[in-house]
Amino acid sequence: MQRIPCEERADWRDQAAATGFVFHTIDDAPYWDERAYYAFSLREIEQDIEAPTAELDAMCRELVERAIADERLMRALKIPEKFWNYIAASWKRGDPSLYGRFDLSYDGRGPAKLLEYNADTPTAIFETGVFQWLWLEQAKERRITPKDADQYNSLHERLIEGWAAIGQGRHLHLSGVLESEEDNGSLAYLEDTARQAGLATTRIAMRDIGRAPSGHFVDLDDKPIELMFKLYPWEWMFGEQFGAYLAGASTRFLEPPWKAILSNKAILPVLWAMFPRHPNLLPTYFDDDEAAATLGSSYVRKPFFSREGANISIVVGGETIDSDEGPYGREGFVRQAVATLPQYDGNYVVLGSWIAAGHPCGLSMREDMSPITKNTSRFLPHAIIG
Amino acid sequence: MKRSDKIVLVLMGATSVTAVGAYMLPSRDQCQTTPAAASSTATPGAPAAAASQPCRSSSSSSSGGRSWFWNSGSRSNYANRSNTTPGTSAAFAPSSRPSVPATKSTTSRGGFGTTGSSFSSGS
Repeated sequence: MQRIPCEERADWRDQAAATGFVFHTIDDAPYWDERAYYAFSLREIEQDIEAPTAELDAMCRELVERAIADERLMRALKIPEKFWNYIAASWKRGDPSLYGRFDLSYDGRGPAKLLEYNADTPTAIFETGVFQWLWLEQAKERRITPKDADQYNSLHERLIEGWAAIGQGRHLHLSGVLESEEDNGSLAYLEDTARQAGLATTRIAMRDIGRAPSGHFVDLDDKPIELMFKLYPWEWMFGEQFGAYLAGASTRFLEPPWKAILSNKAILPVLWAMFPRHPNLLPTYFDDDEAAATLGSSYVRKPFFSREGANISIVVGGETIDSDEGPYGREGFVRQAVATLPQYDGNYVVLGSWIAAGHPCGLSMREDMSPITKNTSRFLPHAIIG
Repeated sequence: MKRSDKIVLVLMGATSVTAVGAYMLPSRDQCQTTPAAASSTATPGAPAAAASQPCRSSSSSSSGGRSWFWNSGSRSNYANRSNTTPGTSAAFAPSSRPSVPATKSTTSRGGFGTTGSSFSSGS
């Protein structure tokens, strides 16, 4: 694994605009950054990223199977009790998942380590599936990369494959916070992949979803919502007014309710307990677990529920060396052993390993000057060289 | 990694008034999805098919034979792709509207979306 500085394409901003990639710059700072790319060998991709991603996915599914049969676990994960049956029913019914992203620490010199699993509302999907592939095609033509460079990236095809299997002729509603440029862009791309799989679609803001007297969730035309992709976390839906009506509604959701178990950093100590010393896991404990002391005075403290690095603290030698403020942490925290992200040219990098339609299928690279990855962390493309 | 020899230009959000542009999709090698791989779509309890890597081909063939398509909106340009999931062709039929009758009586709204007005939803 290498970080290779390179020339950026002079016209990439025009291409971004032409493709609807409007959030390539955030607060006047680059989000999409092609002044360098990461190079991997095929062996690194296949053995160190792809295979562990499949294994982590299987381990997470085993955790769900165990959790729905164990109240203590559901309680430890801080899943509200009134939704236990709803979640268990979705698992037992076999509600399918479309996608997810494992965030990994990896430097090419040892096994990738799971930092967290974005199981419910992963973003950075358009730039992963489309824009970095476009970069590769042009980078080869313009001799930025070797002519035979490749990329670990079949995310786009897997999404279409997933929609085709899930849709089965049903109308798809896609919902989220449409005022958010990034969220709306992600929804637009996912909507496009669904349409390419043959699904008819409607996009709707979360706040516009209605509840009819019949108990159905409905769209703005009062048409019942049969199948809905939501870029909106389960824990938020559970806490909102309509959350009380989820179990009685006929709507099927993506990601499915059982992903509420996995979209939670409290799975990290549970995974470590289920699969101790697994090479792709870091020692992690609940904050109030006596065993957390085994980590000593250096650890990363993470809230059960948080997004974009919020409320995460890195403690080294008892001192907090980095932290990011935010609104999360009410449910509790976990302590994870420090796996300092690898640094290249002064940049910390984290890998996002995608799974869609049940298959590991792509990679996103995020860089930051801070070891905590945030929503402003830069996205760099990658290539397989050799 | 797995790409076809086509470049597809699709209009993003073709049905939405909030459409903000178009995606220029890159070329992709045609991969050969095995029936086993195709049928393993994210079923709970079924681990990801780690051994099934049907699309391992390099992208070396992706530079030739380019053509451009405009997505007309209602049907997929990918309907005839080689990696169309076997046995699910019904999914490519034009989607129908939900079959449950619409409700004309009072509908309440605003019961979702209150948290998201303050925080980012993505992760």
